[in-house]
Amino acid sequence: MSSGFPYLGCGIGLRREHFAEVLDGRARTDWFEVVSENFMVPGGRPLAVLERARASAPVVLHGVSLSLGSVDPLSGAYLDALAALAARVEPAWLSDHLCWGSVGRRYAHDLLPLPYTEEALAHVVRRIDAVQARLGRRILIENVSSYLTYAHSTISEWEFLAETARRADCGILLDVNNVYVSATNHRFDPRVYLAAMPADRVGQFHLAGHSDRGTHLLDTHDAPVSPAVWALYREAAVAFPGVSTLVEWDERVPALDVLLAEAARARAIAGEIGAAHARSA
Amino acid sequence: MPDLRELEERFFAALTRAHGTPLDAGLVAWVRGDGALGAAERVEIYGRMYCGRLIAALAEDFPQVATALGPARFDAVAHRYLARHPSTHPSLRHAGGAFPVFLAELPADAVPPGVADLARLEWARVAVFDAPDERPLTLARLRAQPAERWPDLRLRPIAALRVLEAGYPVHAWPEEGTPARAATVLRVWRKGFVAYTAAMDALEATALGSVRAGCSFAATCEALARLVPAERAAADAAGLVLRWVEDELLAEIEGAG
Repeated sequence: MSSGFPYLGCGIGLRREHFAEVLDGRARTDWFEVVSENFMVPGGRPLAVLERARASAPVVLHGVSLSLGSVDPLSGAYLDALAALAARVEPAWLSDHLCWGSVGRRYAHDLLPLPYTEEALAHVVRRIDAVQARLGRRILIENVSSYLTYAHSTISEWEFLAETARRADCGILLDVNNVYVSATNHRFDPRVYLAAMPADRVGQFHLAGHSDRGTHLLDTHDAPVSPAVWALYREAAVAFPGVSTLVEWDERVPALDVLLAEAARARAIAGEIGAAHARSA
Repeated sequence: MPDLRELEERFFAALTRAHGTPLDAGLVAWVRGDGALGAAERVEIYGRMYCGRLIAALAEDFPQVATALGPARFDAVAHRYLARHPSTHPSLRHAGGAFPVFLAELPADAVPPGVADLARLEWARVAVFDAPDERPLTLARLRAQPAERWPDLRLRPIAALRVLEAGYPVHAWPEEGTPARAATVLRVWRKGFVAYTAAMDALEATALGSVRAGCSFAATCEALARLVPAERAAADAAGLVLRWVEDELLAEIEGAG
């Protein structure tokens, strides 16, 4: 089943630490994902890097401040800036998170958890509808890592995500690390989460590292992908073949070769699974 | 049970509450805790991330201010700033916009003298870093201007230029202590992808002020003639223009040959 989002292979998140390699053409990968807000600027090095990256590979715009779950009105200025950036970059797709991050026009710059209620579901679906209408295209929404759940949630996170995608007719950016982190923090089986994902909606995977804080896992993006997340990724890639994968690394960013090696490992796993599919077909 | 608005408003208030203020017990009651982590501890994870992320962003944009204040003092000042000026822009890039003014308004015993000016300089560097791109005026283009056009020539600075009047030489901030008070005028601009800072003497500051105000070359010479002998003014002005062209802080002349 196809999500309608193209297969781009295994790419990397483009971060400032690797701008020089992008500018001189050494950063070679299947595709780049960039944090949209970092490039909503009038000029300078960021936009030059983005254009250079775009000239070498497909680019995807990944937002962190759309605040789909916020009760504030959607920001027209933000959507205008996002649309303008999309017109400039011609991304393969755009994505953001299933969360809220602002209220009263103040931003937490964090991915804050929603209650999984009918009220929140209807609210988020309305806003995704509005965003997709403004951008003139379907977007992907990503599951976030969380450290708390609400007593008044009436359904599970995976049911909430799947139903949101179905009602809003959007895609799902399935962050495998986030599934693992939240599963550990809230003691659910991550395989149940994967099984609940509609195969015709999953358009992208995210992989990243996390930190073990003893009492909980923290989604720090400051380490290699953990063995447990690689194992879960393998299961996700079997369940949802032909889905593009992106490796994120945001803190203590390593040398480009290290990041590219993580993407190569994902590519190898996806290749093994693709070959197995081909043999069994 | 709360509706979404009440939940978000009280959650955000918990994240941004002042140091030492107890956590909203009502909010905590809406959160599930378990043996591994209580409900309050779970909310506090988000509180620590909020402060950590915003303060790290400020430290990144104001590295010399952070060094001048030291980690503990910078952390305390940043907390007070965030309580007064929560981020109102989707991008963290703008979170420090009011920080220099906030520092300037703090009592003298809260921050060392000159630190507010240092913050203004660091924010100017942030501003020029991603200011609009423009083609700089080249020497060849300038030389192509007919001599009879020079008096009416209106040069225009690039958008990636800021001029800063400070009470301290903040461009030469010492590794330890604070600099002696001295009126200082700086230009901060981007050449290529790099932000530069240079101190200006009275002559250059006057000339650049004239150019930024949209005055003609002749008017700029007249302004300089109030500082130097009239017969020197044109040569001095031309010398400054050549310096600015070399520094790429003038924009291409529209319609230049």
